[in-house]
Amino acid sequence: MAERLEQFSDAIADTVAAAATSVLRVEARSRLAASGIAFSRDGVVLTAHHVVEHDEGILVGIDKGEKLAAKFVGRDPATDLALLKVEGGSFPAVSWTSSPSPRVGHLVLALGRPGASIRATLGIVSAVGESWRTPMGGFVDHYLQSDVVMYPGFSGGPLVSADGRFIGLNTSALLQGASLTIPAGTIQRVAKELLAHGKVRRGYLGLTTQTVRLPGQMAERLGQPTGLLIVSVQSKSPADRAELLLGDTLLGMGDHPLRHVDDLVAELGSDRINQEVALSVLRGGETRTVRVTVGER
Amino acid sequence: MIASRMHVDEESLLEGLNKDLANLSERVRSSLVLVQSRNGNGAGLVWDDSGLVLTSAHVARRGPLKLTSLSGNSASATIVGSDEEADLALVRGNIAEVTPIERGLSSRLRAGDWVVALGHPWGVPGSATAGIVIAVEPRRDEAGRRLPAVIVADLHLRPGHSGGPLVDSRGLLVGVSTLANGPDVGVAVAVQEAEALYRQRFET
Repeated sequence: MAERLEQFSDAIADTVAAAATSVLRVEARSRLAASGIAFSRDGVVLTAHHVVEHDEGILVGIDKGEKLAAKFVGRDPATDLALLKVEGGSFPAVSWTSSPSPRVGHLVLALGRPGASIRATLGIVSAVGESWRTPMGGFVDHYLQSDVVMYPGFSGGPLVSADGRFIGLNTSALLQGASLTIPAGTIQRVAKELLAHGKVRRGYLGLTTQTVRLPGQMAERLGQPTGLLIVSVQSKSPADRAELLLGDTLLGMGDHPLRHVDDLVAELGSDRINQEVALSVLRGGETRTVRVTVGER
Repeated sequence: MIASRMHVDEESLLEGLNKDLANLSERVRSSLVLVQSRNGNGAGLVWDDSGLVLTSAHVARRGPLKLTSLSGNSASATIVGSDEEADLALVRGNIAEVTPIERGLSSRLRAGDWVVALGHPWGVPGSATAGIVIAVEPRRDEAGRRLPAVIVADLHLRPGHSGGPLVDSRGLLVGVSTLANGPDVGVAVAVQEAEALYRQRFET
């Protein structure tokens, strides 16, 4: 009688079983172990930054119950991603998907391995949105939230579509009380940086700024109500060499207005390193252009 | 009106699943009883034709016990066997017009399998909640001693579910809902523990 339900149930359990070998346990903190994903064939493991509390003595648990020693490769707290490497390890690496992109209402599974065996929860995609910036300033290609319950130790595990494709990495740490997924595109970009440099490089000017309200006429003319007041300049920094001064107000970089501190953070991605940028600066009531070669942090 | 819905007899996959789920819940309800004791209300399930009803030990602990089916038939009951560690109890009371539940095998469950729990949460008789199996893991205590097998599922069990059936996608009994601390997971004692209790008490 319940033939369809049985088929449905079997299909979900089959999906879990097929994905299980790529879902690993990550023991890198003193309390409960968390989850990770087999990222590449040569033993690279993707996990969540917040579950890697120590860089030494990390163990990775695989499907057969075996535990392998792993080295810390790098982390990006801003997107809550980290990479580990099992020397001499080889896993069936996952293939990521970003197309067709998940739609609101699609069935999804969160997989984890905080214990010896695979664990799974089922839910639906709750929200899909535009690119967004995490509270720590990390750029995420698109917003993806689901109603899967993130049980303790599920962070670092994958969100998997009903047909078994890996959509992204689940984390409960980026936004309180929400099951968020870092999508494949962001993972690929961050992982490339972490493998090459051990961190996500950021452009660097050597400035501290705060948002200030612009004088009425100026705001009207520029079409922006606020700018960034420079409150400190580090000596010998790119900003110092370009002779930016305390009390200058930054209005824009290139064609992009700088209204909030976040705008400046967003402009200083790794692609800006060693590039010359044109800053529009308000000094003594006049606007001028100051050229700065962006450094690296 | 939805214009694309031209053929009302053509059933979509989701409609089919919905129907299966509703039919399954309906069938299990005929084996479901309300267990009332001085500890409050819990659930129970009809084990066989001899008037045996399986429930949680913590539900049945303080008598007198009263059993009521969803069709409104009731009977008093007495406890005839229990396993406190597994939180299971067998009670006997002859309720009219109930059907023994069909039993399945919890050992066949895999992570991702669909399960449904029935009970009387918030005093709502015969409520169903569904989810998937999170994990099937053998449990041992710190001394390495085997603990009663449980099924952990991502469904919401409340006190009124205690003693009620957890069934698989075929509607077969795989577990008995119990109380759990910690994160909001549903925990059921595996049906094999109930089989063991039955054998220990009644097999000669």
